[in-house]
Amino acid sequence: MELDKLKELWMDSNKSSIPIDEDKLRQILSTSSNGPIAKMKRNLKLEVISLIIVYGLLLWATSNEDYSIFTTFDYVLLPVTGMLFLIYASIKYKQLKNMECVSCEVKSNLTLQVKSLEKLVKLYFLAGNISVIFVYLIAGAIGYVGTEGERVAFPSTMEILIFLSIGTLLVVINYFLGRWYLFTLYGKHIKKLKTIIYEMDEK
Amino acid sequence: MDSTGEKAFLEILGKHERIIHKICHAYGSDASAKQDLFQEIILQLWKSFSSFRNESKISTWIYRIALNTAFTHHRRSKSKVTLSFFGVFDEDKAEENEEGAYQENLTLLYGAIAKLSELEKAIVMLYLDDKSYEEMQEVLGINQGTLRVKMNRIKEKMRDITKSKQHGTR
Repeated sequence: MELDKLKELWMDSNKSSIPIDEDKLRQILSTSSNGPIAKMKRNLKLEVISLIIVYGLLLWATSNEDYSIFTTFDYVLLPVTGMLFLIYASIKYKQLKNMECVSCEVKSNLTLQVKSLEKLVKLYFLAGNISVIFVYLIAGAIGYVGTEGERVAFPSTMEILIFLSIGTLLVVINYFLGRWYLFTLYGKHIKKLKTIIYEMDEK
Repeated sequence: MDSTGEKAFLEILGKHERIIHKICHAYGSDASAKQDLFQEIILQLWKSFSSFRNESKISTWIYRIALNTAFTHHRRSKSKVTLSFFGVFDEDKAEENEEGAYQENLTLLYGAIAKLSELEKAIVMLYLDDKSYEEMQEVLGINQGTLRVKMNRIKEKMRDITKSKQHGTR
């Protein structure tokens, strides 16, 4: 069948569409978007709210002597980790805010999305790997000071070697797990968008 | 947005709803995916409505948003409003319809479109909707020369697909 002959059929198919009543449309307008970017924005909000709750509880615990389990070390550590998370969240929010332009030409919107998604994936990957190293080092230091008590001394070469070996193993496992997880989450989508952009440029 | 804005939006939507229906039929794999995509396109249009400045035709604006959503949307919604219009072009319903031949051809057309790539679907839909190459460029951002080359290739492809489908069904 020739495509030009199908034009008429296509135009006629308007008649086959049953118009949706306004109430249903209004109902749709009151729901929230389920697009990937809207979901990511919602997740980020949840992450920030969770952090505020956790830090609120920690603040309460530090101010209450009966429950206070913190050392001077933690008083430094908590604001540092909080600040790092806030920096991460603000970079992520900025990325998400500029990630799409649905009313722009399709090609420019897809290019924008691919670039932003790739940046975001890099940010996740970097943040994930750095936080594992950071948490491992801090946990190691706290654990060591905790077990040694008041007569804390510099650890032996063997202890350092064991600590570094376990750490390296953890970092390597986290690196590959992170790569796999991020590819499952975003890799396929990025690949799909790249294929469309490539097809757009292809003559 | 106030109720006047909502009313104006619904009015425009009423006039151009068919564009969204067609995109959902072409990009949704089943009735549920079509409903999901329809809902998402409406939401995206609504979100962008306040920034629409009449710089382009309203149909161009709708096509841009609908196609951008169709290309990037890939997950299913949980809070879905049930809509009854999808399934109009279901193959099993085509034979029950009084206008059997018409429905059969329409099913054939949608079946052929389904065999195209995501981008080809968009180009062919704009072509079938009688959009000029200039308008196609405005929607997709692909230059007119490339669009013409692609369109020729799609025509051949569609001819082959419909031919093989017709032979296959008879």
